Amino acid sequence: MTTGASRADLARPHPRLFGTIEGFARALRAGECTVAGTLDECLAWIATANPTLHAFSFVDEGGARRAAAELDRELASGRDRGPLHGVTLAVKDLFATSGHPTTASSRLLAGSVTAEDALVVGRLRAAGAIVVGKTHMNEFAFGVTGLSEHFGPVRNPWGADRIVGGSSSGSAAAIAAGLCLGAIGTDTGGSIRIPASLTGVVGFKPTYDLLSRDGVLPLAESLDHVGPIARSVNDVFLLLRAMAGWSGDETPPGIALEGLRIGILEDHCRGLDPEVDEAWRALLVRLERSGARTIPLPGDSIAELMVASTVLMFAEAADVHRTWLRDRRSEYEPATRIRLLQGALLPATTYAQAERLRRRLRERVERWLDSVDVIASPTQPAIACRIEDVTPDHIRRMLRNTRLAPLIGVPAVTIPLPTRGLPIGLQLVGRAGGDRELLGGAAAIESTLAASSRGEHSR
Amino acid sequence: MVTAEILLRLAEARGLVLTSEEVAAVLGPVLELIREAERLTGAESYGAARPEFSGDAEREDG
Repeated sequence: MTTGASRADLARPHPRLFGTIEGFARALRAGECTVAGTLDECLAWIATANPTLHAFSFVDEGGARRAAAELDRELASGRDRGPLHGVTLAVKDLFATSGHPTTASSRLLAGSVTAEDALVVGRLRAAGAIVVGKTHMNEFAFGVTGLSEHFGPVRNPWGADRIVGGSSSGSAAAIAAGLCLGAIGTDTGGSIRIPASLTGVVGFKPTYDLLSRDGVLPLAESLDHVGPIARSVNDVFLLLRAMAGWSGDETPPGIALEGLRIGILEDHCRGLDPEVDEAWRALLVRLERSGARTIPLPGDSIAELMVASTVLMFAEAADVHRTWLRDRRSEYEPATRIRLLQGALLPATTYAQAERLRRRLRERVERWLDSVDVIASPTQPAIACRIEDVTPDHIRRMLRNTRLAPLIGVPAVTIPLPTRGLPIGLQLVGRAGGDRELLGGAAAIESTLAASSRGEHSR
Repeated sequence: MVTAEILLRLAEARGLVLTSEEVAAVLGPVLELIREAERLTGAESYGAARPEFSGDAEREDG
């Protein structure tokens, strides 16, 4: 594929690779495919597309094939591990995976091989998922572009000259390009939702501490969240369910849009790109037509959330990296090194003030959530820009709408909006602990949008 | 008042010696963050406006 080519230029592999976990599970049980056969298609597609997209940093072909053969044998003998049986999985390269490199896309960890799985990876494998490989990311998850001075950019499947966003860049690109069915990432200031939004897939950041960070390299511990990325809300729920160790329902609770109170974060809706503004306005009309009530949430929290999030993130990251920052500083990418040094210079009083701002914002959002069921905004104010157009101002803009949820620990999901051009995401934020309900609401909106898109296409 | 020199000396005390290039890239954004955090929380400090304590009369814990 040449730079600037659209996704349509990619030679399409088997349609199942662009399908959902649910669809694969049905086909597998209906005898229409096998785990090993689907994995073969997946590996062939990765071999074709990955040199351009740069989503995977490592592919474990042998391990994946052995796991697939075993999972086929199990199914033939009557052992069914459930909805993730045989599902191909991409893992951000800061999760420990047994016997694989785990480098956080950094030269500082070159050659590092982890002996055991992170807890959530182990749970996904036990549920039948096959770890296909590790995915590229911003170095140590400290960035939102998907660009790497040391390893090159992850490219957007919707236009290879465009950024994919980050830091869970390769995981989102892998889902969008059909390189696998499920992926996992981390989100400290938006690192799951930003790339998911810019590539047109679903990304979920759960309530703080809902998912274990055991075996996951930290960026900033009071802000770090683990979460799934997939092609539908229900697929994300299936991954979340396994990662959290839940049993029971295999779908999120049914939520009716009729009467749903959707708070609109007004400060997150300012300064949108024209394409985003158009998609956003169309969404609000569709939601109102479906019986939902949109309720403006006025005010401007942007300065508070940006300062609080930046101070906490930079200071905590500098603490984690303090030894290497003294002894091996030249091995970091320049942008990472500068951010870490900024964090190292912040005084404790500034950190305390950031904590005060965080409490203030949490109380404000809790008050809002007393009067609305969910809070909505565009996930990103802009579409994916060209790689050469990334500027510090552009990066600040990318962060604006995603930093609130990890700062105060509430769950947030991005789902794709109907668009004629590059992907645009809708972000929904819910109550702490209300992860299932939030995904239920997201599934209802996803279903409504799909139905109205079908209606438009049939006219 | 936090000054650039104080920040750099505190970093040195922790074994972190910055090059002139790093100082140029790092100090401006750090000082801006410090000032913004001060500004956004200033009204809540002693001497700015009276802090609002809930249940002042019952407080005996200092």
